[in-house]
Amino acid sequence: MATFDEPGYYDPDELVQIQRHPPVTPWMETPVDFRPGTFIYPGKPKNLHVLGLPHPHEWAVTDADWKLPQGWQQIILDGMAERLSRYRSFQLFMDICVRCGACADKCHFFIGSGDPKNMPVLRAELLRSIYRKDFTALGKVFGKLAGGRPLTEDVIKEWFYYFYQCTECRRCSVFCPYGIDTAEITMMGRELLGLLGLYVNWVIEPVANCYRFGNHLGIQPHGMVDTLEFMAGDIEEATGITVDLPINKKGAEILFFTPSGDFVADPGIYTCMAYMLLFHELGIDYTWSTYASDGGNFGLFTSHETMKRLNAKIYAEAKRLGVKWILGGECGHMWRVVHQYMNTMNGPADFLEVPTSPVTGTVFEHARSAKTVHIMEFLADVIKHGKLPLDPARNDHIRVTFHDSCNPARGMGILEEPRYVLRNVCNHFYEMPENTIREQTFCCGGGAGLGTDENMEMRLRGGLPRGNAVRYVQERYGVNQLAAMCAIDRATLVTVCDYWAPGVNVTGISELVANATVFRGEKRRTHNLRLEPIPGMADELADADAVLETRGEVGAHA
Amino acid sequence: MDGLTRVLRNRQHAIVERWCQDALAVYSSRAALVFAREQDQFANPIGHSLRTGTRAVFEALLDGADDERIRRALDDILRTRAIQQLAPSAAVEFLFHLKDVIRQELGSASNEAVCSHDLTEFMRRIDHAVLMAFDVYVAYRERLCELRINEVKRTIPWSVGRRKTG
Ligand code: SF4
Ligand code: SF4
Repeated sequence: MATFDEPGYYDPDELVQIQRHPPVTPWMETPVDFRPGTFIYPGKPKNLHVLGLPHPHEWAVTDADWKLPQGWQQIILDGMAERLSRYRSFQLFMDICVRCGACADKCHFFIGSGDPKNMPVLRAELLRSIYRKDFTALGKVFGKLAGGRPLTEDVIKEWFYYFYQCTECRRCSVFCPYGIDTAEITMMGRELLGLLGLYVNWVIEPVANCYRFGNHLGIQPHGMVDTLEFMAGDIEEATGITVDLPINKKGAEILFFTPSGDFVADPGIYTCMAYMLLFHELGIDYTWSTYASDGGNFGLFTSHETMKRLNAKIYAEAKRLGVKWILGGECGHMWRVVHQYMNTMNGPADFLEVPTSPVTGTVFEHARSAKTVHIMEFLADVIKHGKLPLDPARNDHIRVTFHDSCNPARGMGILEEPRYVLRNVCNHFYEMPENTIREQTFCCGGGAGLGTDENMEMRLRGGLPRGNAVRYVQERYGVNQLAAMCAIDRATLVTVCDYWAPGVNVTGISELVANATVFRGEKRRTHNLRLEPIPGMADELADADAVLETRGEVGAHA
Repeated sequence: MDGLTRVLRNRQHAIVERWCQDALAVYSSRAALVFAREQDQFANPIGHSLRTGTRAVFEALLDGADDERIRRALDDILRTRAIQQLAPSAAVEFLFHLKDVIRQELGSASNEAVCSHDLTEFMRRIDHAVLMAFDVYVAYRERLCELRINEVKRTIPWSVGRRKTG
């Protein structure tokens, strides 16, 4: 026999025949592999108790027995029947998919993982197979032949795994010829799991906090006041300006609310500081609320009922404080809840007025029903009317790109306002490739309650397409900042960028606005809101002084 | 090596093509089909990094490149595999397959004595590249842990630090 480095040792023909593809099992028979880093820890019973949710129990994702309640199959089937009759979209989405595959490669989790069950069509099929078996005549008779399958514990595990691997971003729906929105199927799947007491703690704990304290983090009123005061201190250090801190102010014109994530963590806190500074500069009569202290609503990721319960505080607080209208900060899913559902869920808000900008007089007609305006709409209007004296050169060390957050962009169509604002406050703005922005934007991979550290491996798979596009503009244009108007993005994209495009920092848009604004009474601005020195600022002080001098014309709103 | 290098360079396209297909086989056949078909680098980053990565690695091996260049060529593929549902062995295995691909492409030529010694040397380069791949893979796994720690640190409210210091 020849040795390995001699002729004849290998038989080339034999080598050709090696089959390397993983063995193919039909998807229904491929069990879930719960690898640490790819799933989220279960909801703790204490949180379910707070909310009065059914079947609170201790269980672990990696346990064989998930301790499902007695009669759990019937609970699921009844829950499905109820939802099929309540939501026509759900019934339609179950029936009309023709399995054309147009959505198959459009989900960021599929693109980043290669797991076929992350193809939206298959994600939906996880539920549809049960629907077929138990709710269609064909399925009842032919079962598997008609694409149906029995409801077993493994099916429940699969649902849990894959419905918490969907960020409800709706990208797939853009490509579906029938408009099937897999996000809504995921929502139904999660609601059904909830009937068995199966939640993820990353969602249900914030929900329980929000239910008791008004915000996801459980910040109590005095804690919120402290936090805002600390921020005011930093603002003073950076700009020399002492901002007002109107909190729970009765009779204020505007109630302002924003996701609580921006109270606690870098880089969201700088966006929060920016709001205070800008409102101060514009001289608007607004108030924070320690009760409506979170615009975020993880109820959206739990169930329709929970979303409604958590959101009730917004109108209630607007009424109590006697404001005229409501202004919302930079948040993604909050905007979907507020703009798409709030009026129907918690309205009518007939005690409020149609929002009118006190700075420009613009009437926000589109907000006639919900009475709530997005900060980007508000700021774009202010800038358009020349009411903010801006010196975009202060952001010249920043080369920024913009991530369209799924909910405001694809969900609600706020595409131009943030771009308009960015172009006015930054001289170096670069778009990511066309098929990764606007309606086709790629999710951060951490939305819809997935953004926790134990799930990081999965999030980085989902974040691959976004990170890949960021890296492209980083390499091509030297982009060093990614702006996003969503608090979840500001938390999760930091990690996505650190992994896929290290060197790119994440920022809110308002932060960039505040850093470019020449404030009345500001001291020499040598540091930005992060208290980092602004490169070249010393040389440009003279220019800034010139802007200050002309501000009588530029900012004639006082 | 010159003779063999020339032969391999001539067949580079076929070899890399075949190798890339082979490297895709780590994914399920449904996914591999999609990753092989879609050419847009943003719609299909995995397919794209495999296409460009396998070519870059192969060229680096032909050139007898230094470790740094081999690591760079491997970077994208391993960065992706480090966060996928793959055992470490499965993540780096595709490099070994290059040996089979070359033998397939060379056919009987690989058994000719004249090539064989050079071929053994080339295979050693591949073995070395596997070690580099292992380094890159582990570096990204470590990065993953580091990012997780960073994230946990960031969840400690900013104001808590303030209270202590100020
Ligand atoms: S694109 Fe729509 S119809 Fe086609 S497979 Fe996907 S969900 Fe079904
Ligand atoms: S909604 Fe988004 S995450 Fe969910 S299946 Fe569709 S593309 Fe994937």
